[in-house]
Amino acid sequence: MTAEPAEPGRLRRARLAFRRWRHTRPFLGGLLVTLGGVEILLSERAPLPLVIHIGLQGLAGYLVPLMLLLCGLLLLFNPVQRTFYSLLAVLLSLAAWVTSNLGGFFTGMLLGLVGGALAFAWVQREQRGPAQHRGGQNRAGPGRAGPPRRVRTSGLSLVKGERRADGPQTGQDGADGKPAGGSATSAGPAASGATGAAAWSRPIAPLALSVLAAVAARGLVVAVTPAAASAAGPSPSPSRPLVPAPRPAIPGPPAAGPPAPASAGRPSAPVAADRASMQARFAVLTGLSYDGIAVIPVAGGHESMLKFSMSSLNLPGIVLSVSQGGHAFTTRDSSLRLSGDVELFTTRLTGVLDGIRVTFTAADPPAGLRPDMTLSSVVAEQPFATADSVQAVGSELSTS
Amino acid sequence: MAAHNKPAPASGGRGRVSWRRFAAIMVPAAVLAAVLVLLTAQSVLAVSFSISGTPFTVTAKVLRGRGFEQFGVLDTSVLKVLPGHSNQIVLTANAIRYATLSHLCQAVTLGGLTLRITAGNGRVPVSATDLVVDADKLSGNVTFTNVHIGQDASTLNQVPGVRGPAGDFGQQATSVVITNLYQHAYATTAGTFKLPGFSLKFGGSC
Repeated sequence: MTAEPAEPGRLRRARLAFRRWRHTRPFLGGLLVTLGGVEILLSERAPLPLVIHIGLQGLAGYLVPLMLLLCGLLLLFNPVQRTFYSLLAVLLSLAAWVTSNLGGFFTGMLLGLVGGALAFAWVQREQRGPAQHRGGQNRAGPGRAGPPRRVRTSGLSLVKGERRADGPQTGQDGADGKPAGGSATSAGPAASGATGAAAWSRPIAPLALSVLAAVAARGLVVAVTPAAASAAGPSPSPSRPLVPAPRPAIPGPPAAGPPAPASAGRPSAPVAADRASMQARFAVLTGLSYDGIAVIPVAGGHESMLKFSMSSLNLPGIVLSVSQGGHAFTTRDSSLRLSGDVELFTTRLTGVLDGIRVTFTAADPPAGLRPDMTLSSVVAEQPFATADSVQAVGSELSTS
Repeated sequence: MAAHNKPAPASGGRGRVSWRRFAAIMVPAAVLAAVLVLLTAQSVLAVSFSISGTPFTVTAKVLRGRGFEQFGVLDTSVLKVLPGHSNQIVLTANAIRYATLSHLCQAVTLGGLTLRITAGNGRVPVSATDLVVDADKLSGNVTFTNVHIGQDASTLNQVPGVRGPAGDFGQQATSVVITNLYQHAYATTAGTFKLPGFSLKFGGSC
């Protein structure tokens, strides 16, 4: 071709080879589609468990850009089927708006749309040469060189048969241009026939894509239907209606616990084993009663905990800190107020009561508490609290 | 068009872009895309989110949620975008089964470019289902009802399917209201997100 013999050597040959490769396929279109898929995937990277938890919609969030990426690669490496791949790429780009972060915040969607349209618009204008044969051999055997070529043109003719590239190579413009690859007869019917043949000759990729498309489409439907359904009322997860679990009814953890010896009931839910402590400048307790000691199963053992119940608990200047494997998260509230059936379980409660420092533990339980009292400099270890209502003012959570 | 004035050279198989074909597919695709954007802004169409590995901020005037869970998680990032030395960070997972947010603003920085999404500034708030946000900072004024503080994170049940590791400290509530919400987060997923009055802008912050 137009090779100047000025720059010999492998580099130049490689460049020429690459150029030839580039020119014999919808390179730019495939590249943009691939980039679009990658961009959308990069905008996601959500942890898989969360994605799975969301279900089909979450999965579609990944499937759609993955398929887009696949379409881009197939446009580059299997350009014979480009009509199918490019149209699919356009549809997937549109779908990504719904399923995948607004199509990777619009950018990936735009890349996919332009790339898909470019690939779709790519037409072959010259007779296929040896270079093409090489391309054809990528997947199909050498003997397939004929049929794929005809498919290529017939794929195009499906859309705009009348204004296809010039006659010589195609044999589709109604005129029997060339008996190129075999038994094709005349244009119109042959077009679809040839596409069918192509689909059979190379069934795997399109088939796989179709299956993926079907799965993703179901995800889409799922994603879209709540929108329509919610006109009636917000019912996001049809599987589980909102039932405020009646707290006392929650059964204790299965098996595990030996029968709690001292009076106090179990907490209404299993208690965390993490090191946690609740500190407050003050604790204003009203309607307080000490209910005894409860032996509570926690992950990896049992804890003896003091149980208090009260009608309200005011905690100004509270810091709740939880340490977890060398890390910690801390919630500071300028004030925290628990009210309505407040229950507090704790392994150790210290504070200053009437000027005297007191410490209550299971070994040293409190006696004769007043129903209303104020503790200052309060620390509760391993707190587990339930309440009908909690109000936190100026709440700030941070991790370290 | 151009195809007809080109004699076929020996190399063969080359192609070019037919701009009429390009327009034939691009125009309807662009129209469809515009329709999608419009439907999203009308909150007819719910979109799905999952972002991770890039810190972002979310603010809202009022968040109302049904079904709330919170527990600590150790997130590992593939890319070293996290502050400090490690590629691990402890975050709190904040999950809400159904949430509405008014005056939502979300700013994400992708490759130096800040994208800002605002929605729900009018009468209709943003709504989200199965919202999970992994945040390292969270602030606001919070009201919970039917709360459990200190529950084993593996037994939380207010948001179906979202649970923490066994033994971890968690809390949950049947409903939550947060005013003046500010979140600095590293990951979020939402099954469906409806964004009335949606607008996406470049630059700025929340």
